[in-house]
Amino acid sequence: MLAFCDGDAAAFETLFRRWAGPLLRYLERMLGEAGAAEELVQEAFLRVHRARASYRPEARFSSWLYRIGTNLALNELRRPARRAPHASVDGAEGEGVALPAAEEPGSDELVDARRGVRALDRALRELPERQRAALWLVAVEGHSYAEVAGSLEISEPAVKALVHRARTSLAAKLEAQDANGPRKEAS
Amino acid sequence: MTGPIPIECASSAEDFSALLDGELEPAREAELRAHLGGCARCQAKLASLARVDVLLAGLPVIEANADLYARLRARIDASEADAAAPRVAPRRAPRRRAWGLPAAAAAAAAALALYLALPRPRVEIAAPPEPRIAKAPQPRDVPALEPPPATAPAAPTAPAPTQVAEQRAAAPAPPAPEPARDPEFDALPAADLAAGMDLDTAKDLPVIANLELLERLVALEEDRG
Repeated sequence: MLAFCDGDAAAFETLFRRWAGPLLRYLERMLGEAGAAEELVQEAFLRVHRARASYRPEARFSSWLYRIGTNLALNELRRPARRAPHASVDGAEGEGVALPAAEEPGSDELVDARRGVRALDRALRELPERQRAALWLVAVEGHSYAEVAGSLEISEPAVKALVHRARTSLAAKLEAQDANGPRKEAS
Repeated sequence: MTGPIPIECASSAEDFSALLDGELEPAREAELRAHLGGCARCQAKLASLARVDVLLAGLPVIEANADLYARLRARIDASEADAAAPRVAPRRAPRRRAWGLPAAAAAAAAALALYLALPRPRVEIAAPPEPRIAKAPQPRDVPALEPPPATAPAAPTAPAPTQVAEQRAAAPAPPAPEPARDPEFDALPAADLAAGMDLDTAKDLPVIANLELLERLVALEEDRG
């Protein structure tokens, strides 16, 4: 990171290769659209590049990057044109999610896994956007409450409450899904 | 479960998440773990929450398009090239000198031509107009139109325009302060000023170097009238 701050283009590319995928996965879950998520990944790294001189080494690079990405995603979600429900990930083919290729289309396990991914994606997307962001950053990216508080510009207790509400909500939906019967009925 | 329950289950809900996230204070974590050891209901609740994390972590990683970095690099290069380019202020209309305004110049030229071409109110209509081109005052003679000295003989009768012009030309010009001149103005042929100009041409010429001058001309004539 320090090499990048000094203008090392190769160091910047290394950072991109390391973090573009995880950031893309996060932004895709936030936006529900692969194309828009890629655009925001580019924009986030563009801003990182422009602001490299202001980077403080005491902050984790990933924390800084995800803060930028979170702000971009929340702004994007607040655009009026974005208010419509997301469709791509919830679509029949899981368009926005790079699911494993169905090498064995008849495999019950694979179909079950795909259905489970879609159900989880759907449940995740139904969360309020701040709950979604907070839970993802903490549970998947391993960010601390303090880091998420910085990203969302809220207090740490508020992060704690958001994360817990998001977890509880998802857990309830998963349990309801379990209670709805066997998932392999359509396979 | 035989020991005392140190934590009320209902009050510890958020702490279950914090426990999973490693955000509890050590003392509180120890307390909660002790409670979990003796409370099946809280164990189930914690397991339900932990399952969410396990499933989320198992969501497939999305591979970025192979050309994503190339596109980003292109944007960065373009952005840096743009920043490195000399700042060019937004192209503004060139600041026009007063005489440079085509419309104003044309209007002023027309006004001057009209002023010079029209007979003076005191001029007899029957008087044949002299060729105005030849007799028109030279632009550089304009200052000579300053009020003549008090000793200058007044014309007994209304003179013809040419006479006025001749008298004006012959009148001694007091060393009145002249308005700032423009070399382009001085270089203009007199005929262009006096002979009723082609406005299409005139608009491109710095015909009237000083609109104040024209106003002064008009004011002087009015005073004389």
